[in-house]
Amino acid sequence: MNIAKQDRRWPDRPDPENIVELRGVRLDYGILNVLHDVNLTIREGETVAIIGPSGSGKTTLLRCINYLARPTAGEVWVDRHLVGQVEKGGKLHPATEGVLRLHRLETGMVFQQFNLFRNMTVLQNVMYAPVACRVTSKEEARDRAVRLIERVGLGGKLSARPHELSGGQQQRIAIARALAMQPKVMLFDEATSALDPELAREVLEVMRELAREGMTMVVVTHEMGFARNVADRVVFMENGRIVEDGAPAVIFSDQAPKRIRNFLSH
Amino acid sequence: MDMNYLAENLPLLLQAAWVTVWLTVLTLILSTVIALPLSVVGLTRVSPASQALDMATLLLRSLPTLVILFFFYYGLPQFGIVLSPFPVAVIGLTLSAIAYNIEIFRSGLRAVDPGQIEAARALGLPGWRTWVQIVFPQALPIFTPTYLSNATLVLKGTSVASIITIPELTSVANEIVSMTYQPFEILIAAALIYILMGGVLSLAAQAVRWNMTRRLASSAKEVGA
Repeated sequence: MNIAKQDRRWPDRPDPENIVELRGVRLDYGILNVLHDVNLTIREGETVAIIGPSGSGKTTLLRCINYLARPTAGEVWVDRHLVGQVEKGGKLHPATEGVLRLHRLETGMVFQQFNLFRNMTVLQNVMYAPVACRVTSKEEARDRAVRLIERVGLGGKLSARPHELSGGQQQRIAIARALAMQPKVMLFDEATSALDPELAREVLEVMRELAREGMTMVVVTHEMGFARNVADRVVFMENGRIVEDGAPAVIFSDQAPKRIRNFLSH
Repeated sequence: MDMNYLAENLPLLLQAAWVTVWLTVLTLILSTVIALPLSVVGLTRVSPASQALDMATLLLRSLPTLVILFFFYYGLPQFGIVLSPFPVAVIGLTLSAIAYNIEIFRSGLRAVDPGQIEAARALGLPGWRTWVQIVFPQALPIFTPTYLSNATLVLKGTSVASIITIPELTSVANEIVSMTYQPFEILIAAALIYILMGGVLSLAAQAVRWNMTRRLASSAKEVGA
């Protein structure tokens, strides 16, 4: 089913309070159904943790929010803009890469493997995209980059290359790089999975600080401590569906459904 | 060895070597400029265009340069298109060099972590910036040694242009020999000139390789994730 080809009225815009809204998002790779009719609403300033077993579709769901993965059907709204689709003649059409680029400016993403640009210094990594995408002037980008790098505690590493940093430091710079674009929402894809516990802690501390400051965050994680203590809501996924969506106090309690308790006890 | 005879003919050989240098440089520049953007086609996803390109490079790599030269030099005049020898030589040599260069650039670009491209896309960077400013600089040290050793092949390959009357080193050496029947001095001199020119390219390749190994070794030491 390709929604772009269907004749339909322009969809209703979401409530302005909802920074992210997924409606009936479905994703198939060939015959493999990775996401099945996912609906999710994330309000401004909320931190939502997505947990669940491997292969449940958590990362794919996250990647649908910035269209790094293109849903087969459904709507993705970020900050009241429909992502990945454009209206032409009363119909919705898939957006070109050029338009998608603009849509992606609203989201910041942090990857499991950090993915800092290896040919650039720390400072260049953080100030490059805002200048290249003409979000800010070079001077402003530099000032903001320096402030962000100091904020993640690496003010002394401005001219270091990524390979000279520890994994935890690289990930903190990757967070600064995403923040430099002033996104409406930050997406974390297992941001601490590649780190040993000590280094993971310094990254989680930065994330906790961000959440406290009111950044809207979607966090795919295996860190149950973070999900329980920092997230406002926890979403539990299994087999490409959202099985449970509730406050951490409920998800991590004895009242949670058995499958969640089973998952958490492993 | 008749040094006087050699000295008498050396200016002719050097003049011919100059033609060889020109052919090599033009072929390298053109094939590089054309192959670079083409090498990106089909790297992140297969499309009809990338499949057509794969077919074309496969064809070009299978064809001897000599056949391509003959085609342009003797084949095209049949349709009223007559080109002078030098452009034909440059076109023919460039076509076969393009096919190899595309493969060489691709192998370098493929070696760059796909996470780099993903991060660039997530940031909303334009495609050309991603390739030119992020992926390419990282692929450059990887493909440069192979590129330079292929350049040596291009240099030697220019000798086939002698067949369509280009006065490059091999053809001039051959001409002198056929007039004087004293092949030894001339061929030795021609060989030395080739070695000199090829040596410059090999040295460049070696320098890049050393530089890269050193950099890899130092970065391996500094990583402490």
